[in-house]
Amino acid sequence: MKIKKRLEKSILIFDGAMGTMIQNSGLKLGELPELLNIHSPETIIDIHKSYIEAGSMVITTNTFGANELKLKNSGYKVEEIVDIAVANAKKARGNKDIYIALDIGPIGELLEPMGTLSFEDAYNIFKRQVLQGVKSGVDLILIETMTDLYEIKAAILAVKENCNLPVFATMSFEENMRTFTGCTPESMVLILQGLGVDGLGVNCSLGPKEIEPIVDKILNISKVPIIVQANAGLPKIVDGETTYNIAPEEFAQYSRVFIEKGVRIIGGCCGTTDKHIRKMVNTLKDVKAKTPIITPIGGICTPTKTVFTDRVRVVGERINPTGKNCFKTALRNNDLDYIIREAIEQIEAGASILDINVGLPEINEEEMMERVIKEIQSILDTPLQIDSTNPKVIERALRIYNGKAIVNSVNGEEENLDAILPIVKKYGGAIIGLTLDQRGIPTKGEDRFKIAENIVKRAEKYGIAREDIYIDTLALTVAAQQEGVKETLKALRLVKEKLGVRTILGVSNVSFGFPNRELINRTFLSAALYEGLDLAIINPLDKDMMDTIYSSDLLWNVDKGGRKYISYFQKKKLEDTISKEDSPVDNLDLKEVILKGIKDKAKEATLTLLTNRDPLDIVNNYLVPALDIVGERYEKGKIFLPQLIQSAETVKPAFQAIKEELNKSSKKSISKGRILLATVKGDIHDIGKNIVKVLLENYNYEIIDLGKDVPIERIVKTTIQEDIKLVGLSALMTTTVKSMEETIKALKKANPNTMIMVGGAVLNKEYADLIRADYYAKDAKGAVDIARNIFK
Amino acid sequence: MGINKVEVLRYLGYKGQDLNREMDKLIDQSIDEINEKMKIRSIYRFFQLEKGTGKIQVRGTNIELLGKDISRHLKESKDCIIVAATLGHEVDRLIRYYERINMTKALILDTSASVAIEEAINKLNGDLKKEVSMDRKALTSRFSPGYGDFPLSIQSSILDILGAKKSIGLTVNLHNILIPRKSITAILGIADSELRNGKKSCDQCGMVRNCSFSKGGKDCEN
Repeated sequence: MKIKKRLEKSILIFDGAMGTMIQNSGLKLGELPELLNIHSPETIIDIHKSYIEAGSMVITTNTFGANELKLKNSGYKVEEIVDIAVANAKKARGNKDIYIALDIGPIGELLEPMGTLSFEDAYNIFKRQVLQGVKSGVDLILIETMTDLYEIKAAILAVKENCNLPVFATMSFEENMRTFTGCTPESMVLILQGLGVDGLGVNCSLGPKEIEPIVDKILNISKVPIIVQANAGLPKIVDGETTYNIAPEEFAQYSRVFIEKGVRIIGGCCGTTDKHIRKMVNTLKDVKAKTPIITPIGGICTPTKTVFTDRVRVVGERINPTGKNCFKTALRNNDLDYIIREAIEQIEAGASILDINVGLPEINEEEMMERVIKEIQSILDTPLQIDSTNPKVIERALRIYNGKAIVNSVNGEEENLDAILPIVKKYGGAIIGLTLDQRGIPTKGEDRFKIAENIVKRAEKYGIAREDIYIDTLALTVAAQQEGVKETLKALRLVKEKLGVRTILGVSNVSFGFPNRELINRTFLSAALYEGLDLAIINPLDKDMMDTIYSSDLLWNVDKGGRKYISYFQKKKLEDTISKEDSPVDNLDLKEVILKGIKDKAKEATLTLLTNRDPLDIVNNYLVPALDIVGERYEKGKIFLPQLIQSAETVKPAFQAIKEELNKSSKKSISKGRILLATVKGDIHDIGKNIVKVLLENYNYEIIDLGKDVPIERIVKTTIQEDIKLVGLSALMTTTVKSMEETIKALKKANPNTMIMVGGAVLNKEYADLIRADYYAKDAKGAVDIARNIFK
Repeated sequence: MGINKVEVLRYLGYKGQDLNREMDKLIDQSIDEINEKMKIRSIYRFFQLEKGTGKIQVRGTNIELLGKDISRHLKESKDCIIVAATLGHEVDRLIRYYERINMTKALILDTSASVAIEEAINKLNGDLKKEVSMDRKALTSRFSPGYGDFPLSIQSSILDILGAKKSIGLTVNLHNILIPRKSITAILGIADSELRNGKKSCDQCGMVRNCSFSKGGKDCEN
């Protein structure tokens, strides 16, 4: 019988640990257990056999670490090990009715941004294992003991895109219900079921008792069968050996509890043996499979944060170039810092979701979308809404996004639905449907409802569940279509009542062209919330809008007892008092502000000066002299490093204000020169490089920062493309000085006129000379002196 | 366990300069935030050593300790303890975040985290010292990959024999950098009697060429 069919009616019992059984047979620590498939096949076959005899319906191949990275120095190829491992399992199975699962564990190296392995490299590593597993004839794939959602996503995609076999996936949690990388059970469920796994759940790390509360959380929301493979208790070190102390009898009792709660697939992990499985099989003989009843709730997430859309949520609208010159400039200049700042400000103001739109005709939207998402997800955990109409951009975004996203958007056109819905389904996203089609936006609310109905029908046909559909009944500007506002709200009400899906509106459109837009926006938002709006796309920095959201939650009995409302306004009151208390230092002179490093006063002080002074005069008579004093004090040891950086960072908002002023009067640029900075290939210690960057920027050099672990080719290419005169390279480890040397060699070959300065903990002047750098910067201040020398 | 502010200041290169109130507050805040975000996980295991010429085999495992510095360090030892400790990913994430918006704070956080992981491993070290002293044994100071000529490339094997990837979530990348970043692995030799080399020696340290402490005529232990 096919495994999926079987799961519909009955439970499935897996085997227990492979590693524990192998260790019992005397494997040396540090040796690859996978090599036993070749060196001692009978050991492996015997282990499989003992599980089959104990009653396991599925046996797992001895291929947990059979990936190209772990096998690197083993002398064997992934394909050889997987093939023999499957052959061993087949020998053990004989002609019995047993399924063979290809076991896939973590790669062992962490993916970006925590580690350095790229998502696509991880995908390709898994792909090799999957392809060979399929070729060798496994019945299903088991991805297990994962702690990073990004990695498990790569593994699942590698399975789904390369075969049709059923795939089960489990992660390991600690007692705080998080994985090592911080992933929650809820996020795991939303992402894995979105990716279309046939079973998901928990294994390893904990015993059944500690796993139970995690399983309860999963049972509440998972729509796919749940798998549990607990350890035989928590590991204990006795006489230097890891031991597990839950006996087979007790383990079997726990298994019964799990199955009675609705778990469908069960087995064991570390410390379990055939004895545990035998007891388990006996205990479960008379237990019927149960399907847990769940109420589907919509939600999106990142690994560490889940946002359920069961109440009103704010979607931050500000990452969008439409009508914003600064934003457009930032996109053209690849200024991701600007975009990150927009993201952070919105989150701090209360956005639960961020809309990401980076579409500009002159930039490559696909690449920019990928870069922006990677940047944001490397430091922020707020879920994203991918805003693009281009299916290619959407696919690229959903693929590399570490989470479950909303896609903004599809409309009622057949062609559009057929292009985008399958992508959303494949990556397990949610979708926004705009109530317009090839004929445009219907005037009547009823007609918009009809389009919504069709979108929902089509989305469901593609397998997207109702809780993942958000309908936008389109807020038009009251200036152009005054009678249209009522229709938008009417359609919203109809959609909410009759389709049972959630609603979303870009609220701020409504006021376009009128004075006092905030008031109109706020009034419209109240009305929309009354009609049942779920996601409000607004500018969260607009306090009035946020106030409206909080008060509405209170009035609609969502914010029980008004707790959130009260704490929100207490916080607000506190912020107001603090900013008042701060005012006495207002009369500080800009130079003083910089010397003292009072960052939040710099802009103000600059603006005051700008009222009666020329921008360049401020640069030359305030900023530069202040920085020089700071630099000198640092060199003399009168201040220490954090104070130096603090002052440098204080200059930043001052320069920002001056640049804006110069842009206004379109005077010449004040940049003193462009410098490329990079931490060399192999090195990921970039704090030193970042310090140099801050300082150089604030001496008004324009910095092209390529980041860390940068390939030689990329440094060379950018240097030529951007016509760079000075390159700064950083390395912290002795081992990566080699890579620095190679980078210098390549740079000199490509363009002998490029000057190169180097720095980093392991370097000194002699070393720098040895690897043929032009300059050695002993610290950040040293780098500034070099730059000054070059851009005289 | 608190992070020692004096140590944080020392790592930051503080030499008694005038600390304004804001900077002082920022340092306190940063230390608090690291305290809150770090989740110290550690693992250790006892091993017997088999000594050959120019190398030491760790019994029951497939690893060899290479280099003359580690040989000298373990000269008196027949056994050792291999330890690994990490502060976890949250700390890395926090530092990454502030590197984008406030470099001053990022630097202080980074430094506080370095102090925290040192303190964590020192505490573990101390506990183990007590444990072996009950058998009237003593411990050498800790010796980590990258000290002297003890190669960094052994990191991966160390994590493997400790099972550190699975048990404490500690990994290493292609370039032998531990991830999470604020992590330490080390080897402690067990010897029969009280040891003279209680203090780390500068010649064994990977930072010797460019050490800011030695420039000031001091060393990092005082």
